[in-house]
Amino acid sequence: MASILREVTETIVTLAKGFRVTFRNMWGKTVTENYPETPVHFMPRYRGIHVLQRDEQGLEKCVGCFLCSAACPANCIYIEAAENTDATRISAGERYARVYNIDYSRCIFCGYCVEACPTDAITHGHGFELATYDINSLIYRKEQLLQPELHKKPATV
Amino acid sequence: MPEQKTVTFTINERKLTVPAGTLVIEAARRTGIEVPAFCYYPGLSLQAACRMCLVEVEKAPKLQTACTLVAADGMVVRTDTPQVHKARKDMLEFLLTNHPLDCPVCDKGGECELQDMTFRYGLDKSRFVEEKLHSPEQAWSPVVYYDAPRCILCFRCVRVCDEGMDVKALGVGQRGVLSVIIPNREDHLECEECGMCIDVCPVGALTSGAYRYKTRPWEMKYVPTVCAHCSNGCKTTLGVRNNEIQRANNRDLSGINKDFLCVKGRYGFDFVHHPDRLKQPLVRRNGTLQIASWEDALAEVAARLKTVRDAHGPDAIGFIGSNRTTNEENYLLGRLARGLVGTNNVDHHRTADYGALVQALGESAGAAQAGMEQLGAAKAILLIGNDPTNQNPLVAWQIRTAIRQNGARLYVVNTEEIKLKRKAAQFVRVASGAEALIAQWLATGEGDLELDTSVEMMQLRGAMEKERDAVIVFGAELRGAAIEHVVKFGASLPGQTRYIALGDYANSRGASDMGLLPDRLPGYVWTSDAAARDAFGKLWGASLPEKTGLDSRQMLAAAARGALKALYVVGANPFRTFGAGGRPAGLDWVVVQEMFLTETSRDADIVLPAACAYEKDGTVTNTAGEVQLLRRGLETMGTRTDFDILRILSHQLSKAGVGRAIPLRTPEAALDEIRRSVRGYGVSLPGLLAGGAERTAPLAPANGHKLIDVPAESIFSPRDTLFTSGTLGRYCTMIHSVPEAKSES
Repeated sequence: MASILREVTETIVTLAKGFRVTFRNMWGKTVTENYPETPVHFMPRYRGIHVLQRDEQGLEKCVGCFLCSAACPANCIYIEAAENTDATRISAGERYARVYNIDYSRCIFCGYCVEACPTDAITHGHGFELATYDINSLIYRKEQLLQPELHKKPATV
Repeated sequence: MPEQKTVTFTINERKLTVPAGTLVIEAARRTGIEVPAFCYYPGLSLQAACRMCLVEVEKAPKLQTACTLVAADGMVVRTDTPQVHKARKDMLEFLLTNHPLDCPVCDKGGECELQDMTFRYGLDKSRFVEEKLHSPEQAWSPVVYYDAPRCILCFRCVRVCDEGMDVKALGVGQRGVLSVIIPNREDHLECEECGMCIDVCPVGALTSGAYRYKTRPWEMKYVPTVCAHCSNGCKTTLGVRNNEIQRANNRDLSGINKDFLCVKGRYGFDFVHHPDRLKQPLVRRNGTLQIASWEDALAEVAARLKTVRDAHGPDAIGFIGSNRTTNEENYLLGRLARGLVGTNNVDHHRTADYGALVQALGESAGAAQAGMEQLGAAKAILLIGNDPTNQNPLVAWQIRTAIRQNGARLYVVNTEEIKLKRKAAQFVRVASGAEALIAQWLATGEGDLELDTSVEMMQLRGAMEKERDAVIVFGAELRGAAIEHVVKFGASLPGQTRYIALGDYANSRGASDMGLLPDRLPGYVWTSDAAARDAFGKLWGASLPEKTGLDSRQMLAAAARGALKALYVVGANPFRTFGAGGRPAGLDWVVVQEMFLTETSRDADIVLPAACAYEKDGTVTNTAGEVQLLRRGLETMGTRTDFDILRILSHQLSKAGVGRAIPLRTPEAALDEIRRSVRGYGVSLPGLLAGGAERTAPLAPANGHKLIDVPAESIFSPRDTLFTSGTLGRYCTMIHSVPEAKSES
C-alpha cells in the first residue's frame, strides 16, 4: 500500500518538475531563428566564409606569405605571389597575392589560417551559405574573398 | 702515406681525437654537437665576424670563437653552459638590432639561418627601443638584389666572390652600425653574375631576381638533376611548383660541384617555358610546316626512311646526334642507325677528342682520367688551350679551389690572356693554333717554336718535371696525335699524371662514349673490329656495317652532291654549326627532333617536338667521364622524350620491314644494357641512384688504328661564354637580361 502511494506522489512531483521547464520556456523568449525568413544572428567569433581585408589606404593587407596555406590542415588554400611595382601597387609590402583561392569543398573552418596570418589579412566573416549545385563554384577566388557582401547572396547555379 | 698528427681534446665532457689543425667548430660539427655560426663557411677564409660560435674554453679568460680556435691537446671546451647560452641570446639580439621583421615578405623566409637560430636560441623580444635603421632595396643587376637592413654583415658574399670566384666584385663600405656591402660599380654589379653571393647569404639580404617573390621554399618540389648547359655536369636542384621551374641551386652541397653553380646553372632554366617551344609535331605539306599528330608524323618518318633505304641503300641516310641528349638516347640512336637502318653515317658535333684520349691512355684510361674532385685536390695543373672561366666554369672553380686550399701550382699555355692567368704560377702565351705544336715539343723536344716561347716552355717543362701529382687539362685545341703527345709527356713526369679533356655541352662526352661516331661503336670499339661488331650485332639482333661512315661535314657535302638523300637529326643544328649555308640542295628530306625552330628544324620536312633535359630521366656523362643521373622535374604537354621518339620509331620501322624493333622500354632498361655492353660503363648503380657521380673506366684497344690528326673542322669548340649555350642559350631570357650578356652579343 505504502509503495503505491509513494509511486503516485513521486510521479506527480516529477511531472510537475518537467512541466515547470515546459511552461517556463513556453512563456519565455524564443531562441529558434526563423532562417531563412529572418536573418541569422551570430556570435562575434563565428567562423564563416573568409574575408580578405584591406588597409586604411585601400591596399590589400595580404602580402602573399603563404603562411595560411602552410598552416591549413585541409590544404585548401592556393596562392601565387608576385612583386608589387611602383606603377601597380596591390599590397603594402613588396609582395602580393596574384592568385588567392580557397576551396570550400575542403575547408573545415578551423581558423588556423586566420591565426597564422601575420598581417591580419585573412579573417572569418559570417557568411555561410555555400551550398551549390556545381562543386567548381566552391573554389572562391581572391576577388570574391575581398568582397564580403557577395557572400550574403546565395551562389547561383 | 705519412702518419697524420692528431690532437686529443675534450668537448662537452667527450674526448675527441682529430687531425692537428682542425678547428673546434669543425670537430664539434663532425661529432654532432651544434655550434651555431653565420660567418663561418667551410672552404672560405675565417672571419670571426658574427660571434655566434662563442664557446667556453677552460683556462681562457673569456669566451672564444670556435670558428677560429684550433683544437689543441688537452683543451677542454664546453658548448652547453649558461654563459654560452646567454652569449648566443645576446648576439642574436644584437644581430636583430636593425634587422627588419619582414619574414612574411622576405624570400628567405622558411630557409633563413637567422630565422632558425632565433627560433632555437633567441629571445622572444628585444630590449632595443631605438627605431631600426632603414634603407631601400637595391637592384644590383637583374639577377642580384640587395636589401641592406636585412644584412648581418657575415661577409660570406664578399669572401666567396673574392676567394671562390676570383671576381672581387663585392666589398664593405662605411663602418660600425652603418656598414653595408657595396658592389664594384657604385650602384650595380659588373661581374660573372654567378649568384654565388645569393647562395651563401644566410639571410635574405641578397636575393635572386629570377626567384623574387614567386613562391616559398616549402611550396616547391625539389628535383636533383644535372645542369643542361656546359659539359661539367654540375648537380643542380630544381625547385618546381605547378609544373614550372621556380629556381635552381644546389644548397644540399651534393654532387661534384658542392654549392657551385654559374650563371647558366642558376638562371638558365627558363628556356623550358619559352613560348617558342615546339609542342606539336610539324610536317611539311605544300611547302609549309603544318601541325600533325604524333601517329601520322612518326608513321611518315618510318615510311620515308624505308623508301630512301630501299631506293638508295642504307648509306644514303645520315644520322646526326645531339650533345645534350642522355646516354640512353644516344645509345638508342646509334642502335637505330646501325642495327635497324644499317649505316655507319652517325656523328654529332664533336667538341673534344675524347676517343683519342681514351685510346692514348690505353690500359690505364680508367685511373688516368681525373674526375672533378681529383682536379680540386690536385697539386699541379697544366692547362693547355680553352678558357675554363667561360667555357667550363666548374673546372675553373676546381682549379681555383686546388690553388687556394692545396697551394697547387697552375701552368697555363694559351693563345689568349685568359682570366686564370691571374692565378697561374706560369703563363705562356703561344701563337694562335700552336697548341698542338707545344704538345709535340713537350713530348719529343722537337718542333719549331718561336725563341721566346721555347725559353718559357723550357721553364714550364722544368717546373712540371718537379711535380709529383699533376692533372693535365686541355681543350679542343688538342686532337688526335697531339693528345698522344700530351699523354707521352705526362707519362714522362715522375709522379702521377691524370688528364681531363674539355668539351662543351651537357653530354658531349656521352655522345662520344655511346658511339655517335662514324668509325666507332659504343665504348670506342672500332667498327672494323669484327669481334666487337659481332658482340653488338648479337645484342641488337642485326649484322652491323663495317665500312666507316661519313662525319657530319662529309654528310652535308655528300648531301650537296646528291649522294646522301635523307638526314635524321636529333637535338642538333648542323646547318648552322657546320656552316653549310642552309639545307643542302641534294637532300630529299630531313627529319629533326628539336625543342625549337632552329636553322635546321626550320628547313626540315618533319619536326618532332622533344623534351629537354629537365623533363626526362636518364644519365649524362660530364667532360671528365663521370656519369650522373638526370631526373624528370616536370612535363611539357605535347612533347616526348627523344628516348620515346626513337623507341616508337624503331617499332614503326620494324613494322615496315626495316630491322628489329628495340625492346628497351625505359631509360632504366637501356642503362642496364649500356652497363652490360659498353666498355667502362659498368658503373655502380647504387652510387648513381643515390645521386653520386660515378667515374667511367673506358678502355679503347687501338687495334692497329693510329691516331691521326683530326682536322679542326671535325672537332671544334663553339667557344661559348658564360652567357651563351648553343641553341638552349638563345632561349634563356634571364641570362640575356644581365648587362654582361648584352655587351658580349
